[in-house]
Amino acid sequence: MAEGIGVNQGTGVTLQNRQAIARRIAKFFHSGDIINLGVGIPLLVGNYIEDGVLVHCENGCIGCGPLVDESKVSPNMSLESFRNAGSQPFFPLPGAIVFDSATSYAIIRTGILKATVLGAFEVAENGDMANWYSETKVSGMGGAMDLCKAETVIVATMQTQKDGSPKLIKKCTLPLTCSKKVSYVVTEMGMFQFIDHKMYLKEIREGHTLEEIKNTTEADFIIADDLKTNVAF
Amino acid sequence: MLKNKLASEEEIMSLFFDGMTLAVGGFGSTGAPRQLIELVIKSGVKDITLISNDAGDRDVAQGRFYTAGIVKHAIHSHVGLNPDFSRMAQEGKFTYELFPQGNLVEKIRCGGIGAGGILLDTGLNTDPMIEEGKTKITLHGKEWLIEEPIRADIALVRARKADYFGNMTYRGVQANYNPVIAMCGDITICEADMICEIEEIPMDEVKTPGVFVDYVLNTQRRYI
Repeated sequence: MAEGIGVNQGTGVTLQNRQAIARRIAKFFHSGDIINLGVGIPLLVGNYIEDGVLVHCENGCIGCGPLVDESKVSPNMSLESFRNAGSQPFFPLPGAIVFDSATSYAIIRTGILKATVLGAFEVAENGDMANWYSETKVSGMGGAMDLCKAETVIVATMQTQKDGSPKLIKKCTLPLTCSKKVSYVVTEMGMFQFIDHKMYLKEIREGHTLEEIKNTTEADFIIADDLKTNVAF
Repeated sequence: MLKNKLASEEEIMSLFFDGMTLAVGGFGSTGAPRQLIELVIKSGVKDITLISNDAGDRDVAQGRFYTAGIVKHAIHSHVGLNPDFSRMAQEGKFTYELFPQGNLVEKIRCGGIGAGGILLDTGLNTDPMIEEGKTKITLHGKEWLIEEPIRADIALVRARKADYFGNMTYRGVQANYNPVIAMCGDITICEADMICEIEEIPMDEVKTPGVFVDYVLNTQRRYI
């Protein structure tokens, strides 16, 4: 997938951090896995997944390929038939299959979906996550609560909000998307894993320190015995 | 001889009424019956209850209903792509209910298949709003929410191809909610990119049987 086409992912260090998070998350998946990518950083994961990982889109497709750069397509070409859940047009890969919404949610609810990658406003140390409700804008939960029924729930997020306050906190303050269901959180500084509703720091990204992570994380986390440092994301 | 259900714009507009409950297929900007949406607005009806996945994009697809200001109550899953929705909701222009997407699809499907509801656990133990007013039951040791069925006075759907009896096919991700919404209306109206003769859609390839469809918008445009 061409990097970032059609997706507003920022520039400079912001974009590099987002790409690093996406690269690290892509390493979780292997050929044959069916995964769903939310909007924002998760969409970038599609740029780095190995061949054969199948991207599911909740509006009814498995086998979603690269996003289409609409500015390079004839305006007479209808791009309506293949758009993802965020309304961005994509190329279906060879062998892609399409289906209606009831079937799509059957795939989500029954464990066929290996993993879902979502953005978040808040993640709590027990694995709770909030990503659908904000006090300033009514937006609705869409498929986020359903998608958290996937076997593995991976959150892609920056360590802090825009105002510098931590996103990884003791207890969520916003309405939850899922309760104790997050499996991994990948940020621009490191990777955390949840085991038995406890949060473990597993990897520190190269260029970052434990001190930095402690200073930007409110949640209590345990340093894993097998913590890896200086990891290239 | 199968009934010919082709209907003119005027015939279709005469079916709409103030205060009607309207279910509309489509997901974001894909698969919405855009010509039928325009007919609803052109008919001048108001105070509708709108059931659909989302509120469309601003002034696109379902978003047209909000631009026209004819929604009294909205039932959706996601409304974040249409900034008009958030603004108008905060101004109290209409009331609304939001459901997890898979739950909303199944509520509509239950209305369409004659079921009294469905047991789902999506949304349990998240936000109290999700469980508000719903019955919770424990069955074989597991907790479930009862999601009750939804039906509509009128359902609007979009096909890639439809014959004049209303047998439908879809293209790409344009199916989305259309197959369940086609079943949930007391009156179901179909709009198609292409209108064809009976048997032009091979019987094995029909996705929505025409028995669920009451009218097919007779458009001069036979191909997009």
